[in-house]
Amino acid sequence: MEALLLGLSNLLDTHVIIAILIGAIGGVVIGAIPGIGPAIAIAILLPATIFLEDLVSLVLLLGIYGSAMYGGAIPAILINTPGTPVNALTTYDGYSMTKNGDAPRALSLAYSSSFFGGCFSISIALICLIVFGPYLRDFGALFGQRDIFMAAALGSVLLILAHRQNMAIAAMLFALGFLISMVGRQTSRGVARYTFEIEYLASGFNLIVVIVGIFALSQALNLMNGKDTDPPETKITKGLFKGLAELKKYPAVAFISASFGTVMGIIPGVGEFVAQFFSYSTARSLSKNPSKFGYGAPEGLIACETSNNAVPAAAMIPLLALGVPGEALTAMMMVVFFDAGIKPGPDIFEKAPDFLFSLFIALLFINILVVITLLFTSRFIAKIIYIPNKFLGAFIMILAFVGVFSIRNNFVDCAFAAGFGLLGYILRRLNWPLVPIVLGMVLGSIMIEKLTAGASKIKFWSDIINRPVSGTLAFIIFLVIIVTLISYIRNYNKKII
Amino acid sequence: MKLNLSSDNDFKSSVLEKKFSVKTSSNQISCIIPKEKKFKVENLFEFRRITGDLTLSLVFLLFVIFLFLNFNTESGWDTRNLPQKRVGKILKQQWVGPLLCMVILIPATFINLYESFKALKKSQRLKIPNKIQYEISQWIRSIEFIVYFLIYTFAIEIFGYLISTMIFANFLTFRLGYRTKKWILTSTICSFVVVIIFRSILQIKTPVNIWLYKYFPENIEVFMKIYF
Repeated sequence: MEALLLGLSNLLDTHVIIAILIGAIGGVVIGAIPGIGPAIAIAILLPATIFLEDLVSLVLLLGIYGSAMYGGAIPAILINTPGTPVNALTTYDGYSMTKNGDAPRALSLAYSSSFFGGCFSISIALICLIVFGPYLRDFGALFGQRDIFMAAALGSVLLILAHRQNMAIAAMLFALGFLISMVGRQTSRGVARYTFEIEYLASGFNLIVVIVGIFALSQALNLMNGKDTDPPETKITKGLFKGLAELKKYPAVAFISASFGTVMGIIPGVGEFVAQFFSYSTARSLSKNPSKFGYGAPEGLIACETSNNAVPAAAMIPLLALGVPGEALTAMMMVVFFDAGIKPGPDIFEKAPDFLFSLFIALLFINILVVITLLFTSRFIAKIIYIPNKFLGAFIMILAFVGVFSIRNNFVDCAFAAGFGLLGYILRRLNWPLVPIVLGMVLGSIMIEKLTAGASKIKFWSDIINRPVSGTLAFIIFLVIIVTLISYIRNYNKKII
Repeated sequence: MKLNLSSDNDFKSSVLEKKFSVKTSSNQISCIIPKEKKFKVENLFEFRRITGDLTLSLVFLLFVIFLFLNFNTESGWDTRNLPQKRVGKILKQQWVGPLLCMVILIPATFINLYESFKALKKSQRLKIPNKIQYEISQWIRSIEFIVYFLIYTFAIEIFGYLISTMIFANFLTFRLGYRTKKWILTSTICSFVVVIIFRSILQIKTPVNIWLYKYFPENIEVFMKIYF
């Protein structure tokens, strides 16, 4: 309880309040612009946050992460273009409702569902912290270096397996990211790896440089080389409050979707898409009128938006509890932790429980603030949708420079970022996933760091998995791989038949 | 609520939802083709290999072969210390990380190439156009903007962050086809706001030894160095 009160008092700081406001409103605006999305915004803002206090910067980034999906629903519903990639499924029922003349209802239903999903996962996290907090203080003692190594390995395996149809590409890009993180002179031994005696490669590739290149610059190139769309103009007049109460009619769908979002958010490498998939499929199977799905079913919209917004708070759990990010956005937030005094991992429950409370309560405030803002300003925010893509691309490129140069004041970093931008652009064009590269860098370096740190206790190969936690995690990895292989073989046989 | 939808969208939806009726000449048997299923939720995860996939897969293969050929000297494998009584002493060596990467990278690259080749064969069988020239031209086209970006970064050391950003923003706006006064003005204002937010307020580091600022009066030079 003391930690809860301390966590609340941390939020009373003026800088934190400003960060909550900017994060919440900025996130909605960024989400509402098709083509930007939270990943690009966070990538650009990362260097700026290094100069801020850790709680302020994390609240700012969390705000963008948590509120971008609210904003992303606006263009998805109004012009059939998802604001963020995770709002793709929202277009099916949301835009159909707009076509049927129910745009305000669809928007308010999306807001209330998102709010429910967000609050659900935050409440779960807060309840767990309050109820299990005293016990979680001993949680750190359970986790040794080998256990964290195995947790990162599990995250990597799940990440690759989550890309069901392009697992080979995901594995390849993950390994590439892993290798990128290895480049440079190893500080402890002074041995250079993959530097080819090029002086500029000796200090390795900075994670932010890669993130800005892969996410921001590649999207800038994508937008500038693409075509400007001319979406139909939709005006929002009245009735935004109409759909708020409608959520009550579908409690089962909302509850199940929020649960899927929370669980999938916790599992590293899974995230919003899989949560939506399960939620939408379940909502359709529960519905009395499944044929309406895709043609303006409110349950469909609720399922997508609730599960989406349940993920951000849940995704913070593996990052905070194990120090293992499960997806690109939390991997970016890891950078803030690298510079902060507080390191995520099992020890955090003992060392900074108030910090955890602060983060989740801030996220709760952000959700409340976003819904209030959206209910009164949707018609103005909806106008942002019409900013031309190419113009947007030019400004992402300008902002990318600030993001890259300010890290080490190095022009070579800008050249590296440009190179990664080109790679990201080509990958985007071919629909290859970008996230495995970044997660490969983060998870790969965690794995090597922990393996090296725990090496003194490893006499035989079996010592890596002879601890209760690492053994269990290794068994889960084995199980997941076997299940995937069986399902792959079954599908392959079906195709042949 | 006023709602204006483009006629194109209305046309598409009417085609999608139209029921086609096929009748025999004698009108004795009639069948109705059901409404086309608009989507499947699985489509969200659908991945299709498109033109250029095989080219990139081949480029990746060449890159991986290059990395593998240099593994001995570039990973520290040539200075390896094997065998060791304790496994931990092996795991501490610097080549372990790159070796782990290679263990994943090499088979994944070959599997990917095989799948890409299979997809190309299928597209040829289905007579789907798969000319690579257009795709590669798009990749090369993007280099133009990369060059602009690099010129912009070097220009900052000459003209300073404010002037370079305003010039670059206006140039890009013009190059991208927004050539009216409205867009040039918008671009100027936006670039100015970017500099104010990131440099003047947030004090993000940008180059300080600016060639142009040296020609300014001392007071202005100091002011420009601090805020722009």
